[in-house]
Amino acid sequence: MKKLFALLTVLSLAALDGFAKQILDNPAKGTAPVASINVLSFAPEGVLLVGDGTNRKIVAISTGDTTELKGEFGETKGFGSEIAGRLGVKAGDVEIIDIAVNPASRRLYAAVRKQDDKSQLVVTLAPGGKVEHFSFEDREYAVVPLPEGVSRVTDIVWVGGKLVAAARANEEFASKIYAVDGPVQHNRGGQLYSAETYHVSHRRWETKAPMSVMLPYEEDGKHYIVGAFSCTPVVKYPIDAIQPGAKINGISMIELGSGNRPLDMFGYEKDGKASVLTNTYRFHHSKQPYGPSPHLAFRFDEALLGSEKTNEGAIHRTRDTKEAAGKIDIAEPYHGVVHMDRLDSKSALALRETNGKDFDLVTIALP
Amino acid sequence: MSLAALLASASLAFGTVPGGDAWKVSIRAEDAPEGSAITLHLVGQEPDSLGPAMFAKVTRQESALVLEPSFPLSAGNTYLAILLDKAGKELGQAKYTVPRKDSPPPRLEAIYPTSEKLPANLLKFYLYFDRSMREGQDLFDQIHIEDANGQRVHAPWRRLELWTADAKRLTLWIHPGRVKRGVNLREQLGPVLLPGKEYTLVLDKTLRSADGIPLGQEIRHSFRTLPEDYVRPRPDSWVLELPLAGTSQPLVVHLPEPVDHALVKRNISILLTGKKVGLDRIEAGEGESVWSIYPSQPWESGNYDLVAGPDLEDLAGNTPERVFDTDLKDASSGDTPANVEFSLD
Repeated sequence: MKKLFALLTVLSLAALDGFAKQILDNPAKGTAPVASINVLSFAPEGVLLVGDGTNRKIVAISTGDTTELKGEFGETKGFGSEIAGRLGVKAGDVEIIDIAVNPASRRLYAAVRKQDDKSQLVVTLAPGGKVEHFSFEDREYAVVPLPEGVSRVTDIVWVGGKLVAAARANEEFASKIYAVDGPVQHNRGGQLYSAETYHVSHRRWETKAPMSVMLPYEEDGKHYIVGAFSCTPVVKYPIDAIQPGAKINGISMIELGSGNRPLDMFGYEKDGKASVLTNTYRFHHSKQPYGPSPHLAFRFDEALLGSEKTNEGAIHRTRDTKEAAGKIDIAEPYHGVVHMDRLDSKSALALRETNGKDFDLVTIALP
Repeated sequence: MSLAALLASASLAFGTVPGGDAWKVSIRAEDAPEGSAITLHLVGQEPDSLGPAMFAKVTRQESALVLEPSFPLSAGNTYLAILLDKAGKELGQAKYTVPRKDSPPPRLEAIYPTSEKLPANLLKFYLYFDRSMREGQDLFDQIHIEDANGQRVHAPWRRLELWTADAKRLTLWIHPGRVKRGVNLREQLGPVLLPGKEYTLVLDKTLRSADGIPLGQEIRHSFRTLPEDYVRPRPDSWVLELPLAGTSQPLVVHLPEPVDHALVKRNISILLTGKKVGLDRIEAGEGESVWSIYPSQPWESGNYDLVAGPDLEDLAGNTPERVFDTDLKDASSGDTPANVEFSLD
């Protein structure tokens, strides 16, 4: 639920120069050692990126799933129950940790935890198909070790030929960016960076806030990652600044308003206009709701990421209401969405909470 | 049901995999016609409610057809195994309820910080349980802070689960947006804790272990708040009780305030003429404001540096370099030496 529009650009460029075939270099073969999952994402060529902060690693797995699947997902009521049933438990006894759509195939991947014995697994769903278990056995894979101090990976993107992850520790409230140059080699680590970010809502530069979600972004041929934080600055970081010894300064571009924690984010293009969609958990919901659920989504014009108004001058959704009109919206059809990812050029796949114990899988038109 | 189906049902049975406690379903080879298969389903609470076929591997062995579930069966659940012929026609079935383990309720072993007096801008609690606990967002509605009148503080937590790998320790963050000064969330909702007040951390009795056993009784932990703390934990304010050279006595460090116990181990190091000294362990005492550092080898004579790492935090998230909510443009940050020198003769 992260990656995006710019990833497609990377893909198309990759097809021209052969770059995409070099996501994994000299991978290991066998059972991919995934023990715990924080987040799922995709690199080009159907390479699944599994963030396992608990065991301080990212596992990049070649799925071989690179043929585009046709057909519609429609709506699956009780999708959580369906997955739970395949594991032999009730809906409330599993947690869907994350979802990601493989952009190479349009297949849905979901990370799931069986609560009683902590089994963690990935299941897949093809359009019109049934839930399948994605086995980690007999795979080509590479383990990217993460340094001490990381205990949770909050998002991973592949951008500008690098694998970039947002990470944090259980004990520290800090923004860490981890980057390793591609192609990824088994057991070759990268660097952990501390990123300084201007937080628009309280007008302050700081490192003491972890990034929640990221997406790759390209502007004038230059690669960036765009990160969103709680309360809710949207910040871009130039990829070429991620160099050993460098201090990474983010550029705050948008402020979506306080009381929100981003959960997923992706970009897309519709009717010739590029947008970014991010769903959030609103902890102000009980006092200041924006809809029927604390889970809601914001759409904003991708062009705002290229604005000259930055940091102190960044557009603020609730303060600059006139300027933000039509550029930053609440995406009403996405109320209640807990996890989502872009499916194709027209729609997203999303998990919508139902009764607090189950989720429906829904296909929602891109706003 | 035909006689063949009855015989098949009779030999379709649940059992454990030899050498382990994983469950399997098997049927005698002679009762499983060529091309037959077994599926396994969760039996729901509603009559006739049957879950989808579970993830499993079915293999035909010399003497039996065997189904091994891909994931362990769960205690207390009832499962139905169905034998199907190659046309998908049911030949027999067997039902089994996995016994519940006779486990006592989970136990909360410790809460850190241990002091009963905490800064009002406290950033986190650590809860240590005696076994793996049930993960999931529910826990943020099962753990509360009550004020002296028994009123629950509204939305105190950052709802991001941070468990250790074994799910025995939960790091429970008071929402940093209500701790940092000037942040909208604090301005709109106010800080979670006010100075000079009595509060109680309350764990609902419904909080469950991983295997579903609830605490069974509410757990209450009272504390009193001090003024907010915006003072960095400066190593130059620490008082050392030195060990004798040639012994493995601890170096005892007295701090003017407690520090985060979970960050001490990887943020305290000792150098002997610039070379890192191997440490056996670091133990906390007196509300985490006294630390005893034990060497892995007896102390040598020489000149030492006790070094505090940049991520060492006090209970309000202040580090040797910065106050937690410092604006990085603040020129006063980062001016503290992060080491204390001492000598052993």
